[in-house]
Amino acid sequence: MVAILALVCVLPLIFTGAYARQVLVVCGINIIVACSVRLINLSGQFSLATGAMMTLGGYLSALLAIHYGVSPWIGFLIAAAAAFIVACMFGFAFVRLKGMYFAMVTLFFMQIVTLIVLDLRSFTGGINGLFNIPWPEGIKVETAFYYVIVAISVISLLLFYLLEHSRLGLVFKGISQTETLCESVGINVRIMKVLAFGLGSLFAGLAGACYGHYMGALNPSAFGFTFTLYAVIYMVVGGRNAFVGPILGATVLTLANNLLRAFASFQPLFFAAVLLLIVFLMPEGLVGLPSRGSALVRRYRERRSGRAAQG
Amino acid sequence: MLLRVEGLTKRFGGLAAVSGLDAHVESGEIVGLIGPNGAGKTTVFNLLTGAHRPTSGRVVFEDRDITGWKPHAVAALGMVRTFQITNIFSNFTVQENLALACNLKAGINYWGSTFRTRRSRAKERQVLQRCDEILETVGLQSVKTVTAGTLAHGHKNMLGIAIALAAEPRLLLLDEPLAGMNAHEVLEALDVIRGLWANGTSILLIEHNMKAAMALCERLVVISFGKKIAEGIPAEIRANKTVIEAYLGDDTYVA
Repeated sequence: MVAILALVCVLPLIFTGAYARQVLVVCGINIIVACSVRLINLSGQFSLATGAMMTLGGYLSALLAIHYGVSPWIGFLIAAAAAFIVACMFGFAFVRLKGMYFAMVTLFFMQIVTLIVLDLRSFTGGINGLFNIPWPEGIKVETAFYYVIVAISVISLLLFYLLEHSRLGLVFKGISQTETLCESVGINVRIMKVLAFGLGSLFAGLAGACYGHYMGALNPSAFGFTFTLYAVIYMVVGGRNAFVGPILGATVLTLANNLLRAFASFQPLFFAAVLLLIVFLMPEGLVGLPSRGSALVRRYRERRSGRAAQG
Repeated sequence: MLLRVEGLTKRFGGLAAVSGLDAHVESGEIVGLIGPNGAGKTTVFNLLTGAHRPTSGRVVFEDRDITGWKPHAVAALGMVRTFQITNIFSNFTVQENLALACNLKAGINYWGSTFRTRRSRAKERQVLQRCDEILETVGLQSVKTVTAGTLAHGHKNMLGIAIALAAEPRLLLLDEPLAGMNAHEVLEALDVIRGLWANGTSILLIEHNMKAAMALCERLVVISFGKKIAEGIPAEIRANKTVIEAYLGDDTYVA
């Protein structure tokens, strides 16, 4: 843990280029987003509104800063709170829909958010997006902002961890297994599902705000359908049953994605191939790689020793 | 009176699954709800606990009209059911199953639990203690750390009852607790259920095993095609002509 944290802090000193830092920032944001998808998924729900919540948070914080001079520090908090509140309101209306139906409605929600951003052209910049989104006060150099993002990522991960290992996490996991039993012991399943959706969305909103302020620019298609799907892929590839799964998946795929950017047109193909391989060969994700590897080695050794005994 | 049901009726389209059922459970009583297959026994449970909304009629629990309440609210009030088809948290250990079921009565604050406040940790210790007690009662202490999905069938059934107990019911509704158990497990389960009753939990149970139902219950309510056809102590029911006819005229059931 400490070693990884130290490495993340030292990396900008080794890779001094702004591009390398940017990749790492995107990586941190993708980690938050992938964990947010998993938090919602813990309760058995599958949302495709992750990107929409990021757009919401990103635009809200950016617009407040540009038009009303609100400090981005406060903007981060407002973005997170707004995503939470909107998600809860949305959840109250639609959380009774199960599985695929809920996912479809979250997809419509994404369309609505995008349309609103496109339509309020004079306010949001329409299809061209927003430029010159200010940095938070006191942040003069990009390296400093890098460490701010690192700090936000670490705090978010800590919160994800605490949530998952608390009563809430237990209830969410229970709901994903059998809702009727949860109800029969007095758990208000509907409220809890709304809460899971709200809490997950909160972090997506925060991540969106971080991205907007760091990049200084936002456009309505930045966190569209493709981005949302990638967030799900990060989780699945890393391993959806383990806390470190989405962290691992987001890190590996974000870095691989950037190493392969010379072949940008093949990116979707690459993602699809990785996803298929994982789903068919290691359903437990990258997290399961060590145990799977050691099992293979053991089987190989057993076969060899068996052959030796025969010979 | 703990539970009173008046004119309870449930129609699914043209079919009356339950019609005009009147029944009651006194505090401290153990009552059996019996009847042939498809008589509507489980539907009665679903109506009592809010899984279905009755077409007409009233459900009164401890002088409170709870007709049409949501399942979680009914459970919170103290009427907790088990399920005929085993319903447990398969991916959790036995202990986690109970810890989750204790959720409501433990009085743990979600935010306190997230940030591990001293109070929530103390409460959490109490919960584990309570879980141990319940596991002791139902005889699952030895499989405490086993993943619930891998338990033997009899153990799964007992875990279902244990989960209901963890929610601290004043009235426990058992839906065929002995289904699919072998002879040895049945004896153990009967002991457990008698023990619960002796400790003051009121019980309403559905049972297919007539012998067991007769042996366990103080009073039996017999329904057939959704209607009550008899009510009384086991000896009366055993001699009741209508009841014997309802069971296809086959009196070997009522051995």
